[in-house]
Amino acid sequence: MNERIILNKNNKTTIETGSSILLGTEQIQELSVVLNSMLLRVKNKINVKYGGDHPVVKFLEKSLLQLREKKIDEIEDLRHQYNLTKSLMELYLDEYPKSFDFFVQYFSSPDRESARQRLADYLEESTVKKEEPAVEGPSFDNFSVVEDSRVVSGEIEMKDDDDYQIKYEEKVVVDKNFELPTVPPEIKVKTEQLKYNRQLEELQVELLDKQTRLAQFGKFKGLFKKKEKLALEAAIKADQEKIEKLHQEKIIKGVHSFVAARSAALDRVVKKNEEENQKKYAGKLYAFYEKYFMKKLLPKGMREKLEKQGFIGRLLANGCTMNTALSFALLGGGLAIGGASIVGASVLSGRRVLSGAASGVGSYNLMKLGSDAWAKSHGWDKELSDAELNNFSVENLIIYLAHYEARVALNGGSVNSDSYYKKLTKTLEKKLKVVQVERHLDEKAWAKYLLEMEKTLDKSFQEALSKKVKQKSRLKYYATAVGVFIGSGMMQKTIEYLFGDKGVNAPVSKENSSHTLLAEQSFDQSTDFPPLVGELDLSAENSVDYSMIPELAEQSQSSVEEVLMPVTERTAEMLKESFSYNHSLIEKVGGAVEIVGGKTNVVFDFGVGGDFELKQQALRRVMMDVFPIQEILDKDGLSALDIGRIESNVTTFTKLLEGKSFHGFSPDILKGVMHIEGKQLIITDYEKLMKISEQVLAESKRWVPDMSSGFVRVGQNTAAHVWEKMLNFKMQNIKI
Amino acid sequence: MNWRELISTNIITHLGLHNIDEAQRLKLLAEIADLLQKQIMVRLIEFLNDEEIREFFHLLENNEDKELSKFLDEKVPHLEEIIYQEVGNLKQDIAAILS
Repeated sequence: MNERIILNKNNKTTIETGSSILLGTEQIQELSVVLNSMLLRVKNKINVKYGGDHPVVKFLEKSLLQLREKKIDEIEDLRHQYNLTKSLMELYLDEYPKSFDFFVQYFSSPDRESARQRLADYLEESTVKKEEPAVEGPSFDNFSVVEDSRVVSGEIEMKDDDDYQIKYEEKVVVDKNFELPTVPPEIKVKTEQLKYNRQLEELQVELLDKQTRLAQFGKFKGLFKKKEKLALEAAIKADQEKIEKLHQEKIIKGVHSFVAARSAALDRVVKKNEEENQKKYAGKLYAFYEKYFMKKLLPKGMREKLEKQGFIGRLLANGCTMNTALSFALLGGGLAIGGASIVGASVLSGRRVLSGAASGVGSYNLMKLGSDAWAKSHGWDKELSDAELNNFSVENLIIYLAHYEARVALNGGSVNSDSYYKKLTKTLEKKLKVVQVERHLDEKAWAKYLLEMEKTLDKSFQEALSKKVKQKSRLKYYATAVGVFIGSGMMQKTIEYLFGDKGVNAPVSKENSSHTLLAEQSFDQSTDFPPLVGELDLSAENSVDYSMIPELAEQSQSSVEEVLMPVTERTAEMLKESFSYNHSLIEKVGGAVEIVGGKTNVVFDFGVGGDFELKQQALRRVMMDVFPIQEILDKDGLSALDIGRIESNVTTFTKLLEGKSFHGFSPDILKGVMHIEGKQLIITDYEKLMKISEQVLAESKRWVPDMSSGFVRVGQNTAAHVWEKMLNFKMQNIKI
Repeated sequence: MNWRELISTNIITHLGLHNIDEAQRLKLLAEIADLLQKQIMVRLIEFLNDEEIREFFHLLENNEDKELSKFLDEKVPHLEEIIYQEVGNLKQDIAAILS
């Protein structure tokens, strides 16, 4: 059926329904009233089905009022109203085609009286039926289309046929501020969903049919028609898979479309705010929503509730970002209703974390933490034994807890009554107590200590953030695939800026923002360093300590040239072997060693699936490897002070890799020696790196003179067994 | 379902996302979280006049967090409730669309 409403050239309005008729203003108004009645019916129907709070009901209540006040008298407006009504009827009234048949026929049929009567009958009948008891609001009882078609209560006014002749052309004054309701995007999304529902229903009917037939097989034919039965079973399985796939597609599409529609609507609201409500800065502020949500600015009410929740609650009250709070709320977590969570705690206690450090448990990593990939890469895809748990450092246990909780939540569950989770938290409590005692801190002092760390790190973080915002365009976007759960893109980019990007405006903080309680924790970053500058310098001194390897001792006494030239495949292989022997720690922890142009190259992968999660972890091994043997062989062995100095070295090299000066060293010192490329720490001249590390260590001794240094505490935050393991690897082939 | 129940509802189960491939699931969550942030921001703007929006923007841009916190506590004292409403409504609205 052709249902077009058009405007003719002479400004006469026409509904074209196969046989055209012309409409005057009064007819348009009358048609509009008919459409209003239909809309009212739709509203009542939705009200019954979804309740009075349904957005479409609210929308229609408002729209109907507007439409009645407006008194549609232009064909274009009528067209909008028609399309809106049609869409809604299609969505919510099964009999919509019938309704519109009547609607169109009413104005097209030569037997108009009869069509009109049918329309009236139809509307009245459908109203009288009252299929659902909960119908609210006026229904079609308040009008009736009778022979003389008089107004009953203003809902509809139908006149004699003579009135449908074009008698005049008149100019209609239209209120320009009036906006006709159009089909809301969410209705379109609903249309999509209903289409999926229909397809699913059809598939389910087919499935049911097959299942019924299978049941009959079971009773009567199982033994004789085995093949057919098997085929039917296979078909049922295929149907079930198809249904599942379609169902998932429906949900994915539905959420995508909903979010897109709602976002567009919000954008419009903001624009309107700017235009109409003298809120000219609304758009500007709105554009920075991501920044606001990464702030640790929980609303007062939320803070007050959290502060009553003990230690973790207090930490969260002061250190939880808005994003985190929202994420908890989305995942049914307790934060939003006043409960604390270990995930939140880990956001805090891992500063470098905060960071995410900064990638953070706080945002990107919360999703990553809960993911299968993360679990598998850590061997955490199964419950850990008590022994394994006891071997965790406090920091790693927090991360593991965060991972576990996030994983449960992301799979739709809750840890509230999870016995394994309870076991984990008890283990953590015990470990925390030990750390507190070791540091001679009561609970108050302990909390204060952590909060102080928070503040210090926040300062540099916020400084970097401020500058980062100004340089938004410079930054690479990453983490989109995983999405930004708690923190959105802005968070990730900021983090990247702070910890990975070496832009000229990057802050050169004297605070050691890499100092965190979670020394062995993850962060993911996409660094953007310039490629290695300059050619490999074949004449550079090779400082491998071959004297430690008896077999190669003779070579080690040779000049560099003698060792390196010519660098045949055989000598390269030999050098590689000797390096691996002499630096067993590097080999043991996954460093890929190659001899290129006579220089030792070592590459570590970090990130998920790599040798390490963090470049700091790789650097920690390297710094341990190059740490002088004599320092270890002295009377106190590998002391806490030694470890503090190693941590200081790690921090220095981390900063240098980030393009920042630190402890008096310029990043230029690493040119041709070491750099980051994507998710790889690439050492292109290990021997030169050893030389540089000697200088760095000398400086570290100045910065870490005794046990009072923060670096010592940082060192202690990496589990003792981790250091022991590194030490064992380092000393493995050393003959004392 | 009241807001408290809705807040306590895990959106994964509420929308039936648990059977969806993990990468997709995380992506959807990210989208939803982003939308939620926008919605709350729009609600916030409603309670501020132009001058206050400017002040908010200034504090935000200059990372004056302490002042920003005070400002919000004073100007939008029921922000917590707004957040609850938005989270609850969003869960409800998406579920209605998918039903």
